[in-house]
Amino acid sequence: MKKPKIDVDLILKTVAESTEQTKVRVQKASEVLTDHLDVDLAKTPYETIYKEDRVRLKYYRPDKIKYNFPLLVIYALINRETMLDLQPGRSVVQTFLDRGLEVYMIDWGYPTRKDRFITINDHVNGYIENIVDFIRKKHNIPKINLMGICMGGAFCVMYSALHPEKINALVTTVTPTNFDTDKGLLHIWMKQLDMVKMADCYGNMPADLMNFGFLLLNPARLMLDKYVSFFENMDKKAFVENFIRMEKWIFDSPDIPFETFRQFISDCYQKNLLIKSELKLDGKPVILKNITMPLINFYGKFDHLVPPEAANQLTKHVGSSDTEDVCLATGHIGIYVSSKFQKEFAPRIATWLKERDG
Amino acid sequence: MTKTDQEQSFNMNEWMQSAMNLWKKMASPQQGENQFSQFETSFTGSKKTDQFFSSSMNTLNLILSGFFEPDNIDATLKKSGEISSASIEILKQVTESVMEMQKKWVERCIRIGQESKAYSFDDMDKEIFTTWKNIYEKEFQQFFQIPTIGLLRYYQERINTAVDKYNLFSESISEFMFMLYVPFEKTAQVFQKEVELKLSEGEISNNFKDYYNQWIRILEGHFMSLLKSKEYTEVLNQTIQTYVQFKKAKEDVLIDLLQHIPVPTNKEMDELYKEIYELKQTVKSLKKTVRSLTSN
Repeated sequence: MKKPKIDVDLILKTVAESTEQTKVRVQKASEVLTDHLDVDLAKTPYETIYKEDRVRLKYYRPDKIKYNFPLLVIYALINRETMLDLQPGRSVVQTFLDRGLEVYMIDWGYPTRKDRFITINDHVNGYIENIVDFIRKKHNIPKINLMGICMGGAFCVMYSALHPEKINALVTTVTPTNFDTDKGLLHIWMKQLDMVKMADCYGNMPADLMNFGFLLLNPARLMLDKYVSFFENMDKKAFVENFIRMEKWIFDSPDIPFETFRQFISDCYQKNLLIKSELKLDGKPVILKNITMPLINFYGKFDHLVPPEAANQLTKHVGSSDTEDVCLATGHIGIYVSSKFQKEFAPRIATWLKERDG
Repeated sequence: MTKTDQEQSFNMNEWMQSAMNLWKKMASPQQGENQFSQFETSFTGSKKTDQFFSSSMNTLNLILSGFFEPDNIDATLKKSGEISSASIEILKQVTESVMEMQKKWVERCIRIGQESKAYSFDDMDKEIFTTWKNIYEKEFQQFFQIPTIGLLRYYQERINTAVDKYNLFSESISEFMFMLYVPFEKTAQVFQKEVELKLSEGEISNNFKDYYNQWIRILEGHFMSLLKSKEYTEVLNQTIQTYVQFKKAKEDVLIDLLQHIPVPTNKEMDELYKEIYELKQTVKSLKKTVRSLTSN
């Protein structure tokens, strides 16, 4: 069989064209990168109305309040809550405000070595409890709505099980509650690697190490392909702005307090106590059957950090009869930042809460 | 004693005495030699040093004159031959010890050579780390674990531990980095075969992006296989363990150094933070109690 003829002229022509295109792109990119870029996060106005240690409570007020119960949003201790207000047009917070829902959001701050002894109980029965009581007192209402993201969702589940009388409705998003799965790399690694020792020798679990660990979950895409894509599109201002915003958010990570990290790894990842209702905070058991308020549980089909198997068991273990699982065809972060799911995710939550607004 | 011996002893003694007198004279401060000199001058330029020099010379004179006393000179001259044979004996012992040490090092090198021969050339890439680790643990680590002595023994011990842990960590991180490199190597092989296949089928793409997408897809696949493998988890865990041990050992050395600078160490601050935390917990608990009592 004859070998196919390799059209050398065509290849050389393509190389020449590519080089020309690259030259033009680089020239334009230098103008874009040196021009003013709108890369600020969390631009929706808010007021800080409560402070306790490193923790702050942000209050977002809608133009017109249409809900009886405000929503308290609790983000994870990993990365920052600014992801929920990434940019105009991709802001979960703004969507809620547009629907007339008052939003409170906890800013966990940046733990230092001083915070290394703070436990999960201090977060749940300390900071969250105080903030919930603060909001209830401010509005003179017995209950509020609660929404949790990832590890923040796990905290919300624990809080709701311990204080169901204070929660009107519970929203959990990409929340790991069942850790007895090998579907996600994190679940494999947390069982087999002694990350607690690493955290102990640093005082807290360092954010830089966590970021590196997350990059190692898919090095080809997260450390190579992502930046190739950036290089190919760096002459487009909108792309650059979105990219830089995501970069700012993804590497803006606080450390995790050592005791909280230790207990989360031990009791959740390794012993899987939460879904079995065997987890204890300050000696009190976290019984999932005590979650009797309405519950809607979102998770991502392609979530590599909290795979569906880790998130979709919650509704089977709670005591509430008003539960719903929603599986979206996206990943861990796509639920919040993807333009496609902006119309599917936050509006659905707002509608669901409205139906249970009393 | 013969007349010749007596003469020899007398001459030797006189010679020794005059030599000592010369040095003593030079060591003594000289006064009034120069009519214009208003200050005492000395041989070394310092009175204290002159005194030391003078006393040293007196001691030497005492020892040597003892050898050349009329009663001892006979024995000194007869035993002079024995001094050289004693020196030869000492030299022989030293040489034997050096040879023994050298022999042990050669045996160590032979063992190292045998260790690496156990693995085939094909596996040298990934097995080299295990080989190096075995060699280090068997042959070199022992030197960092020799017990230390003296006033500064604990400091030296911590430095030795830090160096030992660093070596172990270096091996682990090298192995880990090699593991991360392996998917690239495999991707290159697979990519080359796929391109070759496409060329043979006449499917030649003019767009380099297609080749890049193909390459990144293969690379991602190899990484996924690697990341889920047991070997990767073991190497990662080992790297973490050795790093933690090295960090701790390094910090122990730094804490020793920090003792000389007026800054608190992490250990001291942790104790303080713990106390503050416990105090805050107590205050919160008391506040709750007070609140419940006042509301009742």
